[in-house]
Amino acid sequence: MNFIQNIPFFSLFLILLSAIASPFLSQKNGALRLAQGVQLAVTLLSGWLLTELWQTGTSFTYQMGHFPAPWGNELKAGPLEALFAASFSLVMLLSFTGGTRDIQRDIRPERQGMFCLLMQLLYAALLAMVYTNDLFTAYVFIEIAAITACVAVVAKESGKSVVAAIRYLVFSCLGSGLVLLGISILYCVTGHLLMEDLGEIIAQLVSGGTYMVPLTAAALLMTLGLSIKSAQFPFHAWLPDAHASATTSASAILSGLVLKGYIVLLIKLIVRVFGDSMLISIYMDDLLFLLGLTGMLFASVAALRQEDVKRMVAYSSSAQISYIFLALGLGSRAGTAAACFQILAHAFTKPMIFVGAGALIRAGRGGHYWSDLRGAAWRDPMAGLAFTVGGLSLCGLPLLAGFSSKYGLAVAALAAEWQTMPALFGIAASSVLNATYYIPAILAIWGKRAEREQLLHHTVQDYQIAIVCFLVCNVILGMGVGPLFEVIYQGLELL
Amino acid sequence: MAELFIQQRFYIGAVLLFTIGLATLFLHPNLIKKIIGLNLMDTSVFLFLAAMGYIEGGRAPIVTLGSETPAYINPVPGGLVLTGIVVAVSTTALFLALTCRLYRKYHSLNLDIILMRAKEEKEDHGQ
Repeated sequence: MNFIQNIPFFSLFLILLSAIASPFLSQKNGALRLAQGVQLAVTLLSGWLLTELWQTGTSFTYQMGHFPAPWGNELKAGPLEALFAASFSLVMLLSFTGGTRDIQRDIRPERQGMFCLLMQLLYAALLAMVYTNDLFTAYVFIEIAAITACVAVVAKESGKSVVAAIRYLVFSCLGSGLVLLGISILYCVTGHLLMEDLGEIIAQLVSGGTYMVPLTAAALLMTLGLSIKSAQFPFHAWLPDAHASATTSASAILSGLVLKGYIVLLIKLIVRVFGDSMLISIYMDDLLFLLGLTGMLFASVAALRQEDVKRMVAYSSSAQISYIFLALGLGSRAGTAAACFQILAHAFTKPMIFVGAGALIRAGRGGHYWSDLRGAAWRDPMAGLAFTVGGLSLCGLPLLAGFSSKYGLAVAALAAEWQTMPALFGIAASSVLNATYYIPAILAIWGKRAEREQLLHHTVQDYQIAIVCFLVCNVILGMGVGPLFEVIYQGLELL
Repeated sequence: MAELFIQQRFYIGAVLLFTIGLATLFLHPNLIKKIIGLNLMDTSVFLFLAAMGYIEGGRAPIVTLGSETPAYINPVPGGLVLTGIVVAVSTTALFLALTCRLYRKYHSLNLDIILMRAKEEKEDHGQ
């Protein structure tokens, strides 16, 4: 048990160490291999941590440098954090493997080490957001994630990606500025930065009915800041360009993981710091619910109009993020659990679609538009399969991850008060909208087979292995709903 | 009322600075001015934090033998401001680097013109 407690810190340390080492590896693909090795190791370690914590039903706090609570910095890990860490690491590894060929094409060889440095820093920031128990540490890692994500967008070095990165940076800075202001107000009111202490004092203040205005302002600022960073609907203007103009691995990671990191932090704030009853008393749950509901519909309609495959997939990410906000807005434990499941489901589905789309673009002579991609799936059936299964999963085909998350969300919505009907309507309408843009896309890539069209490869490529792993994970998420929800509920109890 | 304003002058200043910074960041098309707006926004948060930790008549929290001081100022916000400054410097550096790159490519600092030229470039490429 004792060694297990070192895993969160050890993972972070290992990732940061590999990040520093990667620019110095001169061997061809050395940095890529190092990054993949570390990601695999962290996946296995987090999986071990998850099984131990799940079986014993415990969580623990890890004091950095053995300084006790009011002075020291803490990490906290329970089953839910371990589950997120393990899945994020696995998705990171698979996206990296799936996009290796695009990295080699889009990024100059001498820059590959630097690219791996960035991706590893981004990965460390994500895990730190999952594990940290200290608000200010969370802020620092939010900024690290923002900067590295921006540079990951520029890594392709085209004019379009620089413009997209500038827009991304402006929105990110606004988001983190609001979060920092919120943290300052919370510190000003309570005098604490560790989440548990903050939670205790806030519960006391709320029961006494004092300081409600600053607490409301802090909750509002932090929710707003984090929803800007996770591209929730009215603040999603930066997302499509940034995600569409990056290289495949970066798109997959930005869309599948980075957006989720901020939401994991938001869930921790809701459960650990503010508490459900306080947020319900200031109508925060209704705000989240309405943001989610409008986002589900508007982002899907926007996705319908896209000619560029990567932009369509990026808009669909914004719609999927809205599901998470809708689930959080239900204000119940079941809703939060459904949000956690949706985070996992989307984290495994969207990178698969991006990896598939990247390979299809390669197979279709490098064009991003539907006209270039007609019939591309026949040239690379595995990539076509990834895109198809991912699209169908997001439309809600049973046995796949998307269906289970919609099911969990609908069950949670049935127990809600006035939200039931709007939520069910939103789920139904957005599923239909998802189908109206994914199914024509799927039909287009499997379109008429041109004459003498040849299969591109006859040997197994590493991205095909990644796609198979993604498919397996998707089916596991789709079929193993019961045990996964058990882990999530246990994790939320111990969060 | 006036007394309240004087008492809360740091916080009011911080809110004003934040608003000015935010407006510049979003409404001004010039990239350099956007960066200045960003910095103003960060600085306002630092002012807010630093003002929060300040205690009237307090001294820096360094214990010296034999001297008795009535109060020390709170050192934690100071630490937070230092970390915040590091973060602000790195975002500014990144923003400036991106601006240099855009200027070299499109010969303008005006974001609207840059967007227009980028769009034209895309259309040319498409033909």
